[in-house]
Amino acid sequence: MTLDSPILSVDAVSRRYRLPRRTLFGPAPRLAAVQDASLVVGRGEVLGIVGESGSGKSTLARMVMALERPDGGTIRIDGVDPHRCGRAELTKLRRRMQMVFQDPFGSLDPRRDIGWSVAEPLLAASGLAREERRSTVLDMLGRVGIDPDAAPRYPHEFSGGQRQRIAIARALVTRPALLVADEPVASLDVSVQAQILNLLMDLHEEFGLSMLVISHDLAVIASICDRVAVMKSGRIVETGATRSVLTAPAHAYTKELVAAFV
Amino acid sequence: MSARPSLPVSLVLGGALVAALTAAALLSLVWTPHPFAAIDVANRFQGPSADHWLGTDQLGRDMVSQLMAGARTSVAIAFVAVVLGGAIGTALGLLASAVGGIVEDAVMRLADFSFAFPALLFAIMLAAVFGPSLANAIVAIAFINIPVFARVSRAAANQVWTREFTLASQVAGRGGFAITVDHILPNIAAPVIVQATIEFAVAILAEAALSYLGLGVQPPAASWGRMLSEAQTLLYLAPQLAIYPGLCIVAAVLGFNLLGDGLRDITDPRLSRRP
Repeated sequence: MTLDSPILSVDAVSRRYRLPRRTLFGPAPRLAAVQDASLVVGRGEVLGIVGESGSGKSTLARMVMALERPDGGTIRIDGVDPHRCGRAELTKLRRRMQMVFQDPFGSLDPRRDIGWSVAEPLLAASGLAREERRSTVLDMLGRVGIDPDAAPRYPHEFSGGQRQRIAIARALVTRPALLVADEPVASLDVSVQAQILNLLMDLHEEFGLSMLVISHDLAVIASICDRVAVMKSGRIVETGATRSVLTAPAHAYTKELVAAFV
Repeated sequence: MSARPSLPVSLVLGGALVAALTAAALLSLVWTPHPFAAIDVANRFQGPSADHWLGTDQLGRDMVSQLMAGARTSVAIAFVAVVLGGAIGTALGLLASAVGGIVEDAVMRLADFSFAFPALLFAIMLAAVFGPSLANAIVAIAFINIPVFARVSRAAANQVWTREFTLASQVAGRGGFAITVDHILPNIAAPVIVQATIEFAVAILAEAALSYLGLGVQPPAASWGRMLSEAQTLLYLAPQLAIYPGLCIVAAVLGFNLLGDGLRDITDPRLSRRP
């Protein structure tokens, strides 16, 4: 693990949302979702972002994934800024970074069988032949603990935990270097949460995957993250090794979080 | 398969009416009791008999044969017009939804604009300007369908775009067009098909109205609307000549409306979720 040439660096990134006007002529109020946020994910590192809902964690993740434009600051993935590079380069970059969403019921298209969904990232820009694609998909399904024979089945036939495994398979099918997981276990049963976290850790070790894990739950962060960044009201208030942040929180808000957790 | 709730009455009734209409239209392609345009003045104004089941009209043409041929005209025009208008309208709606911004505003304001015209009046105007013919009737009816489908498909597509799997698809590096084809279209198929069924009824009514005004299909092709207008002057002498095509129009329009309602009931995600 090294921070010299990080897989992801976020430098002073901000994002404001325009809110609906309250008065006819006054300026539309703005909400600063993310303010001046900076963080670094080293190669092979697992960085957690923890914070209450509305603290800007998901907005930050969406900007990293180039789903949303920052108003200011720079984001670099492998040294490339996804918001300033060309379309072709962005497509290439997309293969190096993938995302797992919170809601495993919403993140799979109900009208596509899971084999198709897992294969989708390979459709975007790969020279893989159909047969090759198929074997890659079946192999990946097996790795996340889904029977490859189930590939022609539809999402509604699977449980939430199984769907999250399928979503993870889709995220990893292009062998990305960076995985962003936005509340990967928040909507799962507690017994299933541990299985999914274990799976993520296994894959992290197997592929040398760097991860950015977003959660409101300190237990999740504590169990899988090397370092943690604490967010409050759009700002990163504290960053440090998970153990030291948990045992000796510096910021008042972190102290509150840790106190509630223990 | 678990036990399904029984099908809605409207679906069964509408399906039966539509099936009967379609069967009559298809059958008329290969068989009618008599050639539908054959004039036999000696046998005009006949009542129902074994030879002429519903009698004959003022020129001695067989009513049943004419009604069957009229069904064919109605179904053919409505089908082509709805498919044409539906395809263009849905494409515009999908485009508006995928691109958003000024394109979406432009498409939707155009749709609002064309909604401001009474649809049938607009079709009459088109047919009047470009002359009465089968092709013009189809174009006119297709045209009034475009904004309807643009609206329905845009609203449904906007809803699908908010679902997380479209985000996942963007993260996978797929473009707006690919996502529209692979994800949006399959997920809006149900409301669009329901709308198409209801628009079928509107199209049949529009065709009848155009033909009634002499702006639709031209003789000798049969049409319910023209049968109505020809029977109008004979209303006191032979009211059945107007009643039969009138009933056919009512049955066809009712059938498609009921079928559309029934389809909406079973495809509404709030009632049940199908694969």
